[in-house]
Amino acid sequence: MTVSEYNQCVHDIADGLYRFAYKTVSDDELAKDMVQQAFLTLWENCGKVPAGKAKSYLFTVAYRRCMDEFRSQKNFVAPEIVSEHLADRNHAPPDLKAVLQKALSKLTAQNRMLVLLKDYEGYSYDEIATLTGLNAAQVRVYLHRSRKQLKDYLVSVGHLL
Amino acid sequence: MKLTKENIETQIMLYVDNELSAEELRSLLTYLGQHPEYEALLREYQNSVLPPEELFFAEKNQLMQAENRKVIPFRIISGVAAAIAIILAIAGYYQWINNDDLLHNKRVMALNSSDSVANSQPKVVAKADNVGQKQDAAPAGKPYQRLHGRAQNVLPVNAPILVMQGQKKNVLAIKPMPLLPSAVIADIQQPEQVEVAPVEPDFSEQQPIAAQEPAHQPGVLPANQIAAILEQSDRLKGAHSLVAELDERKNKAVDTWQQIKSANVILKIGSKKIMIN
Repeated sequence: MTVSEYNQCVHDIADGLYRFAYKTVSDDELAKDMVQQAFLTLWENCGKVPAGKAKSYLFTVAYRRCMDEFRSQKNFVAPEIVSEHLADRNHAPPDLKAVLQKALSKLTAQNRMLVLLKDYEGYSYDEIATLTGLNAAQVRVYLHRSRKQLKDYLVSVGHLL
Repeated sequence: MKLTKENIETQIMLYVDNELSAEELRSLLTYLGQHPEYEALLREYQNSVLPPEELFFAEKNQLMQAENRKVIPFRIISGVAAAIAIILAIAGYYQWINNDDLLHNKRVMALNSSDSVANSQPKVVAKADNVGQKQDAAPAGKPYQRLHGRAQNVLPVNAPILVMQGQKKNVLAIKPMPLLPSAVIADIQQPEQVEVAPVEPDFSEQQPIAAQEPAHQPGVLPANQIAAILEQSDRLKGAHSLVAELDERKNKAVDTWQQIKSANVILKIGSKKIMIN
């Protein structure tokens, strides 16, 4: 990976990586630190990582960092508390978005990250399995449970109908 | 896979996650068309998908690197370092070998700078038939000349010594060549009565100096008479064997002379031994 390719990765992936980290840990400073650490790790290994694998490499580093934070049980705050301070350009109804964020906070950290990787980054079951170290069957089961949880929460508050 | 009410929910989630193949998708849509009661379930799962949301990382510039900085793959760096290490090791090995050769070839010599050696005249002596008797067979030759610089008195391991056994004496025909050492004749059977008979080359003459042979020793013929004898007496019985023997001796002497030319020679004058190289 050349320097220009690395800088292009920063330009293309930094926002999505920050979004993933922030939605997982719900802490702006911690999310920024995770992003910086992930790109620093990529820069140190840029001779070994091809440009096409940079995105999965970065998300793998961020996922492992988030899992470490999850195990320490220190910095996990419900995203619904701070989401209103973020720049929001989506077109979904605010109530549905807020309800989804609240429903997302009810998931475990690992399931939350799986949903984020699936819905925000568009990874397949196999890609998520490679990235997280789980097998495809586990990813499928965890995601289906999460989907069902989110669906049941939405139905329970009566915002869907 | 045949769709039933037991597996329809799983198929719907797979559809929401975009994990169905084209054939599976066709089957699901057909089934949902035939069972409209599952459309509400499909809509609920579709609403559980997170809507797009953009967040911006404001510190991208801090992450970027300077464009003129070239990244060299670690394997290239390690390969170059390994090549340099190998070259240095080979150079060090050859340097060590050369130093070792110099030390091995270096001769430990002590100077014998006695004035008596420089001024003494070598004596030409001949070994008598009786052991232990010294006899001057010829007048003294030219004063001793230091041919190779310093005279030494340390015996090297490769110093050739012409051995005289009994009444036979190895005689050399010395050619007038520069830097000729003197020949040393010694009797190893009587080491305490070693007599040195240096034969000094006569540079003033262009003719080879004939070996000095006492006339009273029968059977020892000069080399320059061999050819004449061969011509004159090829009918003589026994002469052939004698000629062959002389030839053999001559060849031995020539070989020895070649050794002397390339090796160190010990010159013994009186009680002193001097090495000439």
